[in-house]
Amino acid sequence: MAMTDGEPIVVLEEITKAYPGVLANDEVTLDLFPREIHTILGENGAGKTTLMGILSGLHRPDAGRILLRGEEVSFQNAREALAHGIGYVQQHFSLIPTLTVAQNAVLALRAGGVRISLSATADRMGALARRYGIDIEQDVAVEDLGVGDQQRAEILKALIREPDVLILDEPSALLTPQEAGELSSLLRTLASEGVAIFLISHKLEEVLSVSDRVSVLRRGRHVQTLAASVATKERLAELMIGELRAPDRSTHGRDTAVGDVRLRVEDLWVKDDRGSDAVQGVTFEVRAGEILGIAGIEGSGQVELTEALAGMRKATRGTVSIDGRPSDRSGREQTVAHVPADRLRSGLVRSLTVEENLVLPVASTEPFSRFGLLRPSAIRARARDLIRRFDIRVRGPEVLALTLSGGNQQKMVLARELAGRPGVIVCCYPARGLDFAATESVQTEIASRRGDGTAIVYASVDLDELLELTDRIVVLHRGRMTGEVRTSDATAEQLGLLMTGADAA
Amino acid sequence: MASAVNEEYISLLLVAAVSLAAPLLFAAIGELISERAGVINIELEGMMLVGAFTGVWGAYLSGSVWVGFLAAAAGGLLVALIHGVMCFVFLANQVVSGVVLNILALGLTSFGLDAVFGSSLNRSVGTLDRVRIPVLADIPFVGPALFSQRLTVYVAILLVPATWWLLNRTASGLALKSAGERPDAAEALGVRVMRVRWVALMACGILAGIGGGQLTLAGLGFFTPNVTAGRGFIALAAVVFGKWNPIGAAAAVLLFATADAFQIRAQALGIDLPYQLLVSLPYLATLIALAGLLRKMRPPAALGINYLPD
Amino acid sequence: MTLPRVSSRRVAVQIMIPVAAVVLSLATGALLLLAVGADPISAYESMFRAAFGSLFSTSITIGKAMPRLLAALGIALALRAGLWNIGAEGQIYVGGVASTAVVLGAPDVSFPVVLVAAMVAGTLAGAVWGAIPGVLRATRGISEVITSLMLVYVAIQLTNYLLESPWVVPHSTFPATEPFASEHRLPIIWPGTLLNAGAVIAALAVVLAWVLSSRSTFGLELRALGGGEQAARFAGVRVKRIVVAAMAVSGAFAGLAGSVEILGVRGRLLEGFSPGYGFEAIAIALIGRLQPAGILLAAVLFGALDAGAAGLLTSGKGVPSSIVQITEAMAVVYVLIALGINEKLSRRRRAREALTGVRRDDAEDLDQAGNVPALDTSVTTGIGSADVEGWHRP
Repeated sequence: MAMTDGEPIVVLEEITKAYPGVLANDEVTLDLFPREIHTILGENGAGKTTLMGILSGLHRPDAGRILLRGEEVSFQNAREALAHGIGYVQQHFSLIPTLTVAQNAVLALRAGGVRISLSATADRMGALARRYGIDIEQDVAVEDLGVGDQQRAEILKALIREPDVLILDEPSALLTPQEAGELSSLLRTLASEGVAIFLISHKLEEVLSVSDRVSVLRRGRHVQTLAASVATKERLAELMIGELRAPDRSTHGRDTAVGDVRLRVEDLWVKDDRGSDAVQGVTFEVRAGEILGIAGIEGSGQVELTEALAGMRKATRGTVSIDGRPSDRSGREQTVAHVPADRLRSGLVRSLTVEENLVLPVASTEPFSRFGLLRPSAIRARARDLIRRFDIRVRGPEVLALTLSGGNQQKMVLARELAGRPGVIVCCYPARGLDFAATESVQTEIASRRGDGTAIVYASVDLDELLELTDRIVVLHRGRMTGEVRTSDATAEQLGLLMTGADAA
Repeated sequence: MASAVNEEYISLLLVAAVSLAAPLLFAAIGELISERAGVINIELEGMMLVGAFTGVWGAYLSGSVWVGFLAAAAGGLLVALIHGVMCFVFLANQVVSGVVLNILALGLTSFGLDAVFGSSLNRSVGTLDRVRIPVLADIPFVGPALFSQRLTVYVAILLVPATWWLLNRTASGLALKSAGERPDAAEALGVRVMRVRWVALMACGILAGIGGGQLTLAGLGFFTPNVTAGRGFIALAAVVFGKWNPIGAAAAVLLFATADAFQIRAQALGIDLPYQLLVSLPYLATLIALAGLLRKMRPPAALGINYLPD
Repeated sequence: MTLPRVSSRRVAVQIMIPVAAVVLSLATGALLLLAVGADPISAYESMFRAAFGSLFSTSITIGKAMPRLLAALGIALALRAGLWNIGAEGQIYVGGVASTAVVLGAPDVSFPVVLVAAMVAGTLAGAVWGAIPGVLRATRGISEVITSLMLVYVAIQLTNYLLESPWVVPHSTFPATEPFASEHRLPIIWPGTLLNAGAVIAALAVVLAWVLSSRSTFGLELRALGGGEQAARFAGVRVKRIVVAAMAVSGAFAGLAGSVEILGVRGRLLEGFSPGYGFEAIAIALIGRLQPAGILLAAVLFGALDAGAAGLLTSGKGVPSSIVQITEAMAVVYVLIALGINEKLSRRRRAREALTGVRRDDAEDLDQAGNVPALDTSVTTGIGSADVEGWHRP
């Protein structure tokens, strides 16, 4: 883990990148030395991926410079960055699943202007694999490899272009601890062989064990860079999360008396779309009038968990009981309101108007339809009522839902779900991407349901939000519950550690 | 009945089968290449039809069957180009464009027939003769079928291993397959997806056109309206039934053609089988295969989905 | 509740596109006519006379429009859910076959009963023929494009078989049944013309299609599905059920088309009685922008062109009727081109808006890589569920 002196190979100088409404990178300056493993640490939204995206040519910065070996460079696209020796191993797999690793590599090489035959590529891959101790079956289609092997295949593909700089985005997110360990040694080998590595990670344990230096980003700004040898988990967690607002407990009715258990989850296991276990043996209860927060970073299983609770995703093991009755798992749970994570894809129905969206779940019941025919006046009246109650800013109920702003779309989804006074509310990232006013509105609406004796599950990556709104918090890390705390007793540092897997339960 | 089914019967049956298979084979291989790249051509029938017509037209004008085949290829290519413009430039749904082009092809070829041959009574062009490969053609059962055919049939047969080799042993084949599976990942890997799709589509048009030419120039000697009579759809079925690989598609084509050849002869054997059953074999077989074995019948993931690089 | 209150500019564009396309296609036809040395004006005159020149010819036009109309209504319904019923042609055939079976099987049953039963049978047969691809799509995710297409040719072969074996007419040179007795046919409702009761049925079907798609809960769920399976599912729509139902209803309309054609226009079952109506209906559904009113107009147009083509043949001017077929196809081509241009312009506009933040008053959703995602990503799974951008109502 020795760091060499000398000139940095990469300097990111005062990089600034803005998107509508959000400053993703705010004059961030970082550098990278040869043979160094430099980890970039931060919460969701800190700007890590945007920054690395800029370095790898995916985006162009609004301000600032990139210096490569002392020379200023600018990349129009990823291919140019690749040509300059910067490789990027992304979190979402970029290989063609039906081809083998070697075949993918042939395509990657050809893009670099290297005309090479399939067998020569296989030889080259084999040599690389041996050199770095990566053991992947060459003749198997990528989609048939295990997730760990797929990850290594992605790395091999990046290595075959012989980059000088390698960027890895959360490489061990989907790996078992053992595979993660193997990955760490691979990275150290790579570094010692001369590759400089930027690593984006959340996992404090491995950050400390593999890195030379650690840089913390928070809300788009660079907070501090430490040598790994002097950093502690606590210090890093503190830097990542920073100052928190004092939780404002009074306005959200937390002193409401809590009633009986309405939602009980026991040893729940849920698979994600890829077939891996996204939720692993989660157990908790939620009582009437209580808000349970589900903390975790993106990808920790919050989406799959909330979908399973709402009956939208089948659990492979375990039970969910609502008001004492086991969930029938055959589809949409009737008494559970679900505010899904992905508003555009899962929340609103793009092809329908606002009033149609609002009535859809109950459209086939009285008074909204009779004998299979819709009753427009009842639907219109309900829509007007909900628009008013939930403060949806819209020209009229007859406009297409797609034309609403994000905040109003979310309020519409809320209205649709909460109109029927459900017994349980499950929401996942409900305030994501919303501005301040919309966020306040959404949070207040959900929290106010305490008074009805509703049990509420609130999943979020934002600790501030959770500390403010919830009574208890359950922390997920890669599908497992790492902890459960009373919000009034929780500290940011503790939560941060739990979220990043430091205290694996 | 048993005595009628002797070596000669089978031999002749297979000869007919291979002969019937040839136009289908050209079209199916072309469609296979296109579909692996992600482009579906419901207008395969139209490509064959236009090729069948332009082939006769070209042969008629030039007096040479080979010029005819060139013209046939051009005809199919024209249809492919229109499809490409509709889907790649104007973002039309590939299936809709295909259905419409079939209608257009029918109209255009009928129109062409009237316009070119008009009142002329002599609409025939010369056709190809069989070329017999000595020794090999004497192999029992399969000899004549495989080695005593028209020249273009040999080309069709050779296309099968050639396509297999292209898809599985060349980098171009990899690029093609990647464009049909994950165009965005392919583009990120450096494959120029739209270029690949254009090339694959054009290859399909050329081959399907030649297939149409095979029908008229190597057999009939003239063109009639709707002469292809649904062969394009049989070729489409063959690609699916053959699980999107060249050997499978060729086997499917041969199976369907043999059933077709058989149904013509079945009545002579006194078999009381409704021949329509055999004629619907391609479609029924494909349906059953799809319904039963989905796991292995996965089409290229991006098939039919227009790729929109941003 | 039927149409969202879109800007009148948008409605104007949606109407203008088909109208402009039709005008362009007629112009194309005129060019072709010139190319063969015919006079476009007199040719179109002959065609118009053949289509609308008298009550009699108008009734023929309506007769030709009916099967196209019915099939297109069904196709449009399925398309609202994002489902492509390419197999309407096959459903037309089985509809005709089923109706024939009833008539042939019950020669002595009295007048209205037989007809009603025959039409019901035809509708049901079409529904089954449509449900098969629907079930395969719902349960196994197999593209309904391929499956319904395969069933077309199975249906045609089935028809041919029936005509040659069980229903063969001895000593007949022509693959057809005997003509049905007049009480087994849809009666003429306008004496002196060929306008049969099928027109009434078709008119009712237009109303039914409108009610179904715009005013029924079924239609709401269909349209919800068309906006994305995930969102519909999360909102409580039972997707599998709706997929099968949509394809079945779509098939029912096409089956009814076959019935009406056999019972009303042809009066017998014959080989090839549908010369591609089911495929043309796809084009008609698109030209009519999936709206029953538009589909009605487009179907009448195509019927008129068909009648006009027959008129051209008999006019003795030596004009090939295939020009009409080309004109019809070009109409769709022009519509597709116009829609494509429209789509590209909106994409460009949306990209500009996303960058400058116009029209949205809060932050865009950022995905993991910090990219602003495209506002519309409609792609569903596999073949046949291809990009349906721009083909639904706005």
